[in-house]
Amino acid sequence: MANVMMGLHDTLPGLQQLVEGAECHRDAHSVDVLKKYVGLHLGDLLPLTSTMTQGIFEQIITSLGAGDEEAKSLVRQKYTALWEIFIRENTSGIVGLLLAKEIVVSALLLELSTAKLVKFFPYAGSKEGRLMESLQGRYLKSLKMFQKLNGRLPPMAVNLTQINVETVTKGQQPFG
Amino acid sequence: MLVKKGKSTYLYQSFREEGVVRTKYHGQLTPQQIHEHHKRKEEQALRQQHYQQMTALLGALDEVRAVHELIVRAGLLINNQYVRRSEIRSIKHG
Repeated sequence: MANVMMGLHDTLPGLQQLVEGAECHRDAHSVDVLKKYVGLHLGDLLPLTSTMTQGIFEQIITSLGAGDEEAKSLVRQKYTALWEIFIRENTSGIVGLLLAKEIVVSALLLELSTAKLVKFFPYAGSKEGRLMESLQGRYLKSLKMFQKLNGRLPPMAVNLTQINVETVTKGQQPFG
Repeated sequence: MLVKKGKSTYLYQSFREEGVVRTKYHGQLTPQQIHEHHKRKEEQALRQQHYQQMTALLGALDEVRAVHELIVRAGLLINNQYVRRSEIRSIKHG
């Protein structure tokens, strides 16, 4: 993860400067300069963020599975199904895909945190409460942005447990 | 803190009173109480370990989100849109 961040640190400041400039001026010239920069560097940025997201995804799956390969496989199927639903619903290209990744990882992290909160409920204090709030806030923020971009939410977003993992078929795009 | 003297185990509790550390004696513990004390300590350590793991994962997620946010904002600008106060607005070139 540290190496990935080092790679990002070369490209991100330039991108941030151009994005802020374009948001401030909102003129054709600023947007054109940004477009050129993105065209040149997006190919470097996307694999790096993908590696980072995949790393977190695998780490959470391992924690949730707790050494049980069957449980891990089931969680993986459930969240791959969720990922597939977002891919189907996405109409805003790469921007929507990035948000979908965020939503899936946030939902997964929320599940892990809930499982731990249940386990250590007698000892849970305000620290744990704040952590759950932060996680929920991030999940909802990504979900709302996805909704704004695509105009609607995938129907399953209402209840994660309604996802039928049996519907995951071979050949579907894996998460990451 | 548990203190073992011979075959017996005693419970002491340290606390700070006006900046001075004091220790209060709570009495001798039964084997059942000793077992519960160790169990509670183990669970507290585990809980702390899990909390640290969760905050580390949240930190990693935030790093990804920061990069994604920038790419999302760039993507919107390229499509003549921008985010203001969490709302997506259109750019009207003059």
